[in-house]
Amino acid sequence: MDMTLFEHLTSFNSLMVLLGTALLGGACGVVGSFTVLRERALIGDCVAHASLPGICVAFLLLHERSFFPLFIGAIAAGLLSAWCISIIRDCTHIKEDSAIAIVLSCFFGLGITLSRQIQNNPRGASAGLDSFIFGKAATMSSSDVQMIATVAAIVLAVILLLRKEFTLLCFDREFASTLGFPVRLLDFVLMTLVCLCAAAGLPAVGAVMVVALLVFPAVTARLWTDTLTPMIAIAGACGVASCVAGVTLSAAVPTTIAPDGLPTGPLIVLCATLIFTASFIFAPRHGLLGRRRTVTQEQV
Amino acid sequence: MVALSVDELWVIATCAVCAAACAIPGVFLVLSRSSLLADGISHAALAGIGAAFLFFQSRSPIIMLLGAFGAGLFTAWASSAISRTSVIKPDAALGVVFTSLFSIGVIIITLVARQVDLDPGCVLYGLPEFIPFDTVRFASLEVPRGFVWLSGLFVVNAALCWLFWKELTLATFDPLLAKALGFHPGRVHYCLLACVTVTIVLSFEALGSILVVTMIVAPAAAAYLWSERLRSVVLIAVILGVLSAVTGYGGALLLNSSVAGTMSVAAGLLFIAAALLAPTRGIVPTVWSRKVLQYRIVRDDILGLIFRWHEVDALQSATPLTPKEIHEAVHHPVLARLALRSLQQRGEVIVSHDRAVRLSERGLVEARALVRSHRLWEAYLAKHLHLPPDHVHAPSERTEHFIGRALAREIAEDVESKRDPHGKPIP
Repeated sequence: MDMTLFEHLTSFNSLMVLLGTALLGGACGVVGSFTVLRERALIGDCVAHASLPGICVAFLLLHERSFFPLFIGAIAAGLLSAWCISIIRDCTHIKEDSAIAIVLSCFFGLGITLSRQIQNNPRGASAGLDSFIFGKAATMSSSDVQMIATVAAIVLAVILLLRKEFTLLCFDREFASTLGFPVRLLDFVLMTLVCLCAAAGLPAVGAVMVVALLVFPAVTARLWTDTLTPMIAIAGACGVASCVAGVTLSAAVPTTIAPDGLPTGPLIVLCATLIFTASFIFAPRHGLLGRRRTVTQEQV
Repeated sequence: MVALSVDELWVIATCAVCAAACAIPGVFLVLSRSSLLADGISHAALAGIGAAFLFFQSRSPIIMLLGAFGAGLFTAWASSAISRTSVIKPDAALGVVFTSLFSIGVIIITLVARQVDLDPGCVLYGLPEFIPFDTVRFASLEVPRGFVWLSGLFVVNAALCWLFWKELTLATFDPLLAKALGFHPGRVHYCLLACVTVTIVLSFEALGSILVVTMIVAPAAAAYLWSERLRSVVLIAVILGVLSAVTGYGGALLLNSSVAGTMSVAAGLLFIAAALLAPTRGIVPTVWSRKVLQYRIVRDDILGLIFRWHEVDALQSATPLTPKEIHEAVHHPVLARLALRSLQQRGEVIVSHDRAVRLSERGLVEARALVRSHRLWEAYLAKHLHLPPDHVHAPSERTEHFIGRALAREIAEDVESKRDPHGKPIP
């Protein structure tokens, strides 16, 4: 391995990984801004975990591991889980947090049951549970990147088209509904976008890391601004930045420390954590230091 | 009947004890609306386990337990601190904390993977099938180590729940009152979270880090649907936990699949059953009682409709109503048909051969009482709330079904009028 870091990063494979994760980070940041403002940050957690049974069912039905059917299965299961949560929340007195926890873990349990059955079944190949949780960004192919690019384009287009509606939905759902906007449909569209991002991100960075990409950039951007459009832009940029930094870091770690290299997904989240922590301390108005200054000024 | 080997019986017993131990703190977690903390803590524990290994270079379970314990409590503290001190909402704060701790955990474990045979797969999905292979000796009996640990956990959880019942109840239902009485609800909550963390970590081997969340939340939430008394909620949650462990094992045998996975699916199915069938709060009984009420109101409305139609001269009218006209007037075609048939069977309504609907003597009594309630209420509203005549009909249309004879008599004495605000006689 005599490649310098720069040569390593500009190799075709690494460029693909860089491009794919950056697009994913941007798309997740933009969608995440709306889910965080809608106070549904952890629905991404549920949707990402709940995709597993969908992937397994798609695999059991078609007996092949091509990307597209598994992708559709993941989206369908994610939407089903979001629907289950809204049913439990609206029709029983169980609160939303318990509903999310139950749906998330039960769907995941169903997924584990199905995938173990696929593994025990001599005909089927292993569906790759580990890569589902942790993701395998290093093996990202150009078709994966195409898929992520398509998803990112769809997400951006829908957000641009429905920006006003989503803004109203996130800030004042009741007002939106009295104005005659179809709020249930809008919620459904937002959930579909979350499911799209989650399903596209699963093979790349894994379930838990998708959640992080949906939450971190949005929350970081929220600390820097109180206006929606800059928040979306900062969140998108923040998602791209964490992904690029994570992938670079993963390539930069010398093999003496980690012989097999470090997984890219967790490193991306680590970078996102660092950006978040810095913002949490230094952000002008909502950061720890900035807020202390305003408090002292008021006291003066 | 499938004969079960001793090993399989040990697996079932261990899973059942584990589920029972999870259910007890789960009830209080669900009631204090922090179920998602269980998910966060179980992911974050990975970082604690990794960090403990890095610091102490030891694989002793106590050290790892301590590490996970620290990480779990840190998750709870950090997420509440972030949401308390900034503009970030609690759910997003939790998402930020647990995903970063989880990835730190994954990184540490990848770094030290050569030195420690910590299997991430085992932590994530749980492998209860292997529990009987690691045993300790009690007198002449080989008991699986996992069973000993988890039954100890169950006893401790049950004892804590019994000892601190008053504090837990108060802090869960009324933190402000608890604070006023000097009980420190915050401390009680952290003690509960400490208990949840230990439970989660000890259950990793049997259930795995994600499915343990099912066993903590699902039986507790299902029990909360079945009962409203806290004592019985705890008891039912434990029973449901054990039940899902046993049926889950059966399901795993049947499907040749993962025990932890089928246990979680069984717990989910038991929750669905509770959500659908629970006597007072289930979806089916609620919808059913609403439909029954709607049906009774439709029946009353039909009686009132025929009565008003024939009011001019009570039983004889030139053009009587037809069933079709009644169905159209009541807006609920199916319910109207059912209600009309039941009125006929009870002899309150007579439908003659030429499809004319009339009230019988009995029906007339019922209908008169109903219209009387309606007009009395209209008069009452006009007299005491000074509503104009065009505002009194709609509320009376709703109230008429709930005014009994005694109340009607009292209202009649109060309004002292023989006519309603529209000038129609009160029968």
